[in-house]
Amino acid sequence: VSSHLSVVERRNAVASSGLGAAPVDPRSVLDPDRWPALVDRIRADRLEGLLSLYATDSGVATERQLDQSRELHTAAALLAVHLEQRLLEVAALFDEHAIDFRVLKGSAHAHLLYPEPALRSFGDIDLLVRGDRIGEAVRLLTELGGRRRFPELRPGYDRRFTKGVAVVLPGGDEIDLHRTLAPGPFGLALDPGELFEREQAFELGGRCLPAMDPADQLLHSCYHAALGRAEPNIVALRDVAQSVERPGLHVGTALERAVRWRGRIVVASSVALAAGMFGLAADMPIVEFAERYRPDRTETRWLATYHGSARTTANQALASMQALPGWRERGAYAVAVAIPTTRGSIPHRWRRGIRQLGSR
Amino acid sequence: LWRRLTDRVVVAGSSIAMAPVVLNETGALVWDLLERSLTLDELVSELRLLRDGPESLIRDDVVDLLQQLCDREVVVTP
Repeated sequence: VSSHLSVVERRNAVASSGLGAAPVDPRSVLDPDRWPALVDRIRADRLEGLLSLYATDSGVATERQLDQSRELHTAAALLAVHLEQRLLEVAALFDEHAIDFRVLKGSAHAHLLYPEPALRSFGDIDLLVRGDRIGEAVRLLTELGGRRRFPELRPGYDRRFTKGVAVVLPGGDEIDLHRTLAPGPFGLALDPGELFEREQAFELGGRCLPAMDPADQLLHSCYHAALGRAEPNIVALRDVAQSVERPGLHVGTALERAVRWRGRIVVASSVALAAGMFGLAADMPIVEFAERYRPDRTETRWLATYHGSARTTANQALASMQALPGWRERGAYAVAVAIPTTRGSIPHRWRRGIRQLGSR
Repeated sequence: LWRRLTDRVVVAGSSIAMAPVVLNETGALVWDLLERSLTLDELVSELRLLRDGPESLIRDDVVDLLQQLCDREVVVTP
């Protein structure tokens, strides 16, 4: 049995850096044989800032590992400020065309949730845009030379149903324009319009940029952690831990919104995971809620479509129809995913999902 | 636009055309001192408390760095 931590255990210890919780095993030196795999994992998970803190503070890194962690952190910081230059450029463009937006995740979380922005690394720009303006926002970015990652499934799909549109600008910078906060039923069950009724600002390069308010930021972090990938997103879980300890957060407000969005199961599961991983105090109201919450059958069924064997495009499409208000919306959604007009370029996962729908 | 790292500072220029730069050692110290409103003489005098070397060399380093930051429109002269 190895005396060293596994790569995942070490990654989790790195992700806990600076929170006051004890690392998994502070006595264990960083295993030189596992170091390259750890570095790959850290880069994939965007934890370079926290690795640098961990390597400096824990005393378990060799000089060479310390140097490498600083170089990784420098590269991540260079990317972050480059992306923020791009963000300011896009913000000015959207302002010029009166396109309302909110900065999501990376830059907004780095400046609003973390004691040092350098601790929160990120690799793209995420903006929330109103559904009825997303087409114009995409057009403006394509005029800068950008190209969509995936075509629109059917005219009107972006405006009404999409989670978002990814645009890659010349040079490779990716801008994700979000219409809502999650794919599938949980993203369709909330009204994205209400996210524009409130905001908080952060300062960047001499100008104020709008982000979501603290309660919406917490909810989005929970959604991102639990619904983004098959595995919980560790940076988003760390964002949850940062969010719940933020003085400006009103937990009751966040939970009221989660009720309206039918997303209490997402909040409960993400907060419970974050509490276990980062040692959040059990008497925090949001942690108490997560421990005692019992989801209903619909929420449970919806959440199952994001994980494990039930994570299929067809299952998520069926659950999504249930989340939509009214038969007209459901019909339009079903037609869009079952009979897309962009046949020649439908992403593989959609083709597979459409086949699955047809076989039911 | 900048990031403070453990032993260095990463600073972006005023436009996307200017690639960000990394300030090490004296550069990082000067960047931190720029938080305070100091004259050139005061900057040099503060730096002499933090690092060894002749005053003229430190002054040259500071002037060179400030010129680079001005060129990138990261700092402005009054």
